[in-house]
Amino acid sequence: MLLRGDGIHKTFARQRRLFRSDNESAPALTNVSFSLRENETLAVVGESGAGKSTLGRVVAQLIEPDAGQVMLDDRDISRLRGQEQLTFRKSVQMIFQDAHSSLDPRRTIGDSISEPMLIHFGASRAERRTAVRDLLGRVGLDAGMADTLPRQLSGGQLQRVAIARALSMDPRVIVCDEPVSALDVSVQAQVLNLLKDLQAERGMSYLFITHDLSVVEAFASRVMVMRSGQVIESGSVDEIFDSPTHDYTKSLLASIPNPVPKSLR
Amino acid sequence: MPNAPSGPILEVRDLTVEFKIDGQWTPVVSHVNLEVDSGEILGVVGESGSGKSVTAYAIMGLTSHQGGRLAGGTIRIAGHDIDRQGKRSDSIRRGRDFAMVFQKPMSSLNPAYKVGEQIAEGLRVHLGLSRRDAWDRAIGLLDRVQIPRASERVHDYPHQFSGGMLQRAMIASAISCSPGLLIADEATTALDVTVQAEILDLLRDVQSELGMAVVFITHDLSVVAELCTRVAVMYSGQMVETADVSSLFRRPLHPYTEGLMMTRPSRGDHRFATIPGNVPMPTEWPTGCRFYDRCSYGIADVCCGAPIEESERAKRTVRCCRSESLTLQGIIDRKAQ
Amino acid sequence: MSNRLPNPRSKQRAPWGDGLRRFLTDRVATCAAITLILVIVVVLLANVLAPQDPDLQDLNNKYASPALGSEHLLGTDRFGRDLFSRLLYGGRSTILATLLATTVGIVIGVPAGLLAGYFGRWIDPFLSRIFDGIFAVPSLIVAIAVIALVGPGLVTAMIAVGVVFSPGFFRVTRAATRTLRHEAFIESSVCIGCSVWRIVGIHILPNALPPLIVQTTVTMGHAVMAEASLSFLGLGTQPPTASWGSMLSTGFADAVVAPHLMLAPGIAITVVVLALTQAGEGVRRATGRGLADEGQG
Repeated sequence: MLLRGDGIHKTFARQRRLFRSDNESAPALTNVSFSLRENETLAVVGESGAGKSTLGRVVAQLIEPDAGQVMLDDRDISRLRGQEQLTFRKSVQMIFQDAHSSLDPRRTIGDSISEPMLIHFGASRAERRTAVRDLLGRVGLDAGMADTLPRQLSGGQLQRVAIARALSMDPRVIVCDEPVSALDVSVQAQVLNLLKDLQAERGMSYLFITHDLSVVEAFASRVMVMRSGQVIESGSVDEIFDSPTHDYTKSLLASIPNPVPKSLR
Repeated sequence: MPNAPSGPILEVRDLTVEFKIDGQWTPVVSHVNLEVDSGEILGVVGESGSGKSVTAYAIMGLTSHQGGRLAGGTIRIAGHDIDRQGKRSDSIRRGRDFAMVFQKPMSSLNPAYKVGEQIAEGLRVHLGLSRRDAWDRAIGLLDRVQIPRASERVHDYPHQFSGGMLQRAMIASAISCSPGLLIADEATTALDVTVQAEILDLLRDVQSELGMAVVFITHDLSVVAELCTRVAVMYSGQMVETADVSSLFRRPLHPYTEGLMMTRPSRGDHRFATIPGNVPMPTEWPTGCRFYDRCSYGIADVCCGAPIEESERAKRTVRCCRSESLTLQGIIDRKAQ
Repeated sequence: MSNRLPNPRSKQRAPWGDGLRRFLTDRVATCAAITLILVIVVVLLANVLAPQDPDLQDLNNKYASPALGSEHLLGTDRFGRDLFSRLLYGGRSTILATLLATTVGIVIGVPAGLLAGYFGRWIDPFLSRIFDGIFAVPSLIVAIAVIALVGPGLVTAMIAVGVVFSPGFFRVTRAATRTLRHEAFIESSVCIGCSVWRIVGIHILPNALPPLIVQTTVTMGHAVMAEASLSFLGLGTQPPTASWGSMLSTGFADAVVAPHLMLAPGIAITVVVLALTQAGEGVRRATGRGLADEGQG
């Protein structure tokens, strides 16, 4: 087992969230456990407030859980500090929903992509330039884009930049937090194909957080359904989509709009 | 709704809207034709840069508010020409005869006023109701949109509602004067999928009760399949195809529409079908077909160079110079693959 | 897979270059900037441009009226000193004083603002209360108090004024930092392993610069006024050193006899403060809009 979550609990101190007046003091995560193998994609689905983003951040070592552990190769990475944490950051990376705001608007694409190389490997300027060129090519972007700024690129291109940056550290797990939700439908498929190719090439695993169930069906091998910070149900894609056991899962699946109009069914 | 002369409730002809980009007035919607009959639910589908929202705002007369300008064409609601400035007139009035529901309910309602007050405001202004009557009517409307404990909730402020509830309140406000036309701009995009399903049910319900026409703007073709009777597909500021829902989904006439249907991911796909490339910016629109760069059926001699005209056949319109010779795949073919 | 290169018109331009270009199209702001540059150059070259020694007294030639082409371009003051030369040398004092006060304000306020904005928790309330306290005191009172303790002198006075200006910088920096703190790219920087110092110094500070630049120019305008006020009260520059404030002061005493004595320093102060605020506004307009550039939906 590559990555495992055991009994993760997390409660946030009273947040003054304007758009969620109902569950101010409810725990964000309650007893969440999951497992992720090598070369596998686990989709974490649920509606807003389910806690999937919080889980993603715990796994990516951006938030510390109150209780429970995240085990990478049987080693607890959920509460590391200093140099140790820095080492393990390379193994678990994250890409965000809004690619545009996940990049420093004042730095060029090339600088953003090569920053991890500077931090972790102390790479020289020449080494970084070469690596950036290679990475841009790998994600299907033109090498000349290294000197452009985020605002000059489209959403799809920016998400590829974010992927390139994550790749520069050769991660074993990438937490994808709604990576294609903000993209146009015609571009979503491009980014998903890229992620699939990279997985086949490098054997990476993905923790794929999304609310879009149709993407899950095609992209993931296993699914975990969450609601209000708890795991409702989990299993393979076939199990969950063909024979869901929990009522919530059933209502979720029933709400997906049918792409075939009634008159043609 | 005043007695409209027989004919479509909404008629948009040759609409062109311009915005200032890099200091220059640039069209973002060009020569768009649109027709909606009374009682019809039209879905307008498009991705970013398609101009669908801009068109909606133009119909509502909010273009100048957004910083744009109408550079050509006419908009008629119930036969009345909508003044370019969207001024209020007695014969046809925004809010009373045609209304809009927006994408983010939290930003569309004033956080400083109670929800009841905001619904009642429209009733008092347009229908001249007294405070008391308007308030009672507002409670009735909240009840109609299935907000539980309406008589208590009417005193609450927007931040006390969840996203879905607030969208229901917005719908209540929009239908308060029984308009003949309702425009919903990505009304369910920001909502969870279960809430979306409920809102779509509500819209269907309300639409059939009031017999109003609905223009539902979205990027999600599945929602259109669920809700609408007719579809209009937009790309890069142009209307590329219109048809009734069955015909469109059975056999689209425009390669872009086919592309949209094909890129819907489905289980067991090893690779997702894509539409290669990106949507062009309004400043980069070519003279010929705007979809040519990404089209798998394009032929340079035919598709580039001259602007592509809309052609009509059997109550369907399409803006493609090769539509006669192409046989495209519909959603059934997709599913069967 | 198609990868269009971005629009050639906007190719390869760093954010600074773009803001600069926008600034230069703003006529008022550019005029203001040019005025400031001219003033600084002229004043720095005072020893070259000044026709006379500013402290040279000529009691036979008191209160001479301004006369173009004469020995004394702007006339002389009560001691027969050349007004034009005093204006140029006085500008040096005023400008150096302004820079000193502003720098002190920045050095105290900006790092504190970054810390308070980034770390929050107890550091933020702690620092905020300190700066609220400083902010509550009128700047001149503090300066006078310091001078009462240490003795008059422009340098001490301006350092005190700088301390009084620091809450402005603290607040602006803190506000910008707090906003940026929650941006996805900061979270992303943590994720890739940036140290706190790298995040604050490389990712937050450059993005917080636009409002800081505006705050700097506005503060400089206030500093010029503060220097003028203190010198007017006799607490800043000491005679015979010239500064625009002291010139205004002595000119005021002789207003009945020679009204022209107040005009030159008064106009100089007004022009510089006006130019500073307009340049600051220009920076705000040039950089503010730039960050919000998005495509059509």
